[in-house]
Amino acid sequence: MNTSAEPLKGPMIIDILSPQLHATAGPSNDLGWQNPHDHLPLTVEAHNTGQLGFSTQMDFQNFNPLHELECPPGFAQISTDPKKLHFIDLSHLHDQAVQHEEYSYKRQEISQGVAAKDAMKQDRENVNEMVETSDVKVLGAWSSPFAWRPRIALNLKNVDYEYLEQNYLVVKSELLLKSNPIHKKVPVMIHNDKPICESLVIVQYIDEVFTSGASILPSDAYDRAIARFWGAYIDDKWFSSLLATLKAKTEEEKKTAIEGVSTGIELLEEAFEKISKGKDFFGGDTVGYIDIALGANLPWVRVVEKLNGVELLDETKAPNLYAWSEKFCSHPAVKDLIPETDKLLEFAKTLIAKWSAAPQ
Amino acid sequence: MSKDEVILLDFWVSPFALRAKIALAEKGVEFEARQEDLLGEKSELLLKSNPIYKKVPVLVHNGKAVNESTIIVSYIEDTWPTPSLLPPCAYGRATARFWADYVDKKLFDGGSKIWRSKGEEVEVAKKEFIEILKVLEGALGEKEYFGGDSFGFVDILAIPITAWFYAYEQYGNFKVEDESPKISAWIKKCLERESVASGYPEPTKVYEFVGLLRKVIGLE
Repeated sequence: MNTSAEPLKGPMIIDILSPQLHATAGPSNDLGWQNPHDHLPLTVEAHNTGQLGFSTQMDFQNFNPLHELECPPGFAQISTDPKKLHFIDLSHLHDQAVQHEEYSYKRQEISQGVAAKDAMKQDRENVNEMVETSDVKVLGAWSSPFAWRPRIALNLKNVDYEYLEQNYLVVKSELLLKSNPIHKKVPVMIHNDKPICESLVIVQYIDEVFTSGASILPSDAYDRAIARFWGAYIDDKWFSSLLATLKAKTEEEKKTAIEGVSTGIELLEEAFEKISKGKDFFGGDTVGYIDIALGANLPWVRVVEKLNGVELLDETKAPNLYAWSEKFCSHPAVKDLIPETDKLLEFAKTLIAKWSAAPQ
Repeated sequence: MSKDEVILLDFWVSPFALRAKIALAEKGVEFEARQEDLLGEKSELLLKSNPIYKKVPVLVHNGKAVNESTIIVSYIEDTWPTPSLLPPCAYGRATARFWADYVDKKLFDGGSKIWRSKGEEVEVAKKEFIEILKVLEGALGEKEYFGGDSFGFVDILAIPITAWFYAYEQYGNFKVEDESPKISAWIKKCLERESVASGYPEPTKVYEFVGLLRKVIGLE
């Protein structure tokens, strides 16, 4: 086994499997080695639940990936699995504690994201325990497709959250301005008082932090790149065509915009065939990233269809996507979020009136 | 173990292609950069791999094509995990992705507006661009890099665009150093890295290229 020439930087506890210790302190890759956590000052409290009645705080900074080493002086080996990293700096622990007492480690930083790929199972369980009691708020608007996305993701993960409707086209609340000072838009997710902005960034965050339910993003790197590609296409190119149908000032502009939406649907139909591999959703058997990205726009597609008397999601031209849209909208994680098309249509009409009155 | 085949469809002045080159270099991945002539004819591989946008960069990894520079950098991060370009905690990653999105939406387009405008619009574009720099300064804060102590995801996405700053300065009549010393310092720091310096185009050459683009759009 390679031995690193670099001296150990203590103190560190990494990947503890010893019966003496319960929790792990960080994620590892599939060989059991730890990844550097340079950015993260972790604090772990060690409580002695037995007789000695003390507690010790340890700061972990600058983890370095360790290869298997001999136990250096001043450290104790605490794991019997040779692949796991095993050393604890005794100078930071009461001498007797390691040998004799049981410890329960409590992680103070909840949003560690240790539920990311290759995390230890033990770690996941600990983090899940903590995030299940965590505080989640979503700032959204009933008409915004972007605002539905995090809610769909949270529903898929069975996470409870407090929904705060923002009437943000009229007045922006203080909470919204404080949480999203750059864009001042919905959605914003506030997790244990920390704001996360941008709908697809939020969806990825939800996927990484909450591990119950199926994964939203695929696990394979290439499939992930494809999912992100379509998410970006939907939001950049396709959505601008959709919006342009509502904002168009001339018939010519409207026609071009509608063509843009239709072309997009053709491309997405092709993509669906390739990606779904015969299953119900882009995500396969379960609702995934592209499903959420595209599906959230369906109600507005229906509004544009009604406003213009066109069929954009045509059952004959895009049969797979058509079938998919029915399944998506009736999915339990989705169906209660989607407003009635007629209500949305009325709202669209007021928006259009507002846009044509104001200079663009 | 069979060797990975990594091809990058590239164009010397493209800041987006530079993002991919920096990421690959940071990861120590060997790759073949193929120059595309974006003002001339596009190669068959480009048109086949990126039919929707027909743009560089395209990363072709063992025959599979990945498009869109930010997505390519994420793919590089996922495929070759060390050294890490993103922070380990989910919140840190969400923050990085937020700023990546901001850089993507604002920085290059904001700068382009300066040299694409004429008359009074130039001054407006310049002011907007300086605002963007100020926001990025806020995101940088007291940190060395957007990634904190280490060069990371957001730094990689933003630094290539700075090769175009000289052009923006010339057409907008301002200096980034005066308007945003922090960003200026960050640029210098990043340029000390081999991965950045090796692909970074000469700003004066970029300025010449912008002159060419202005002719194409009829501004000169």
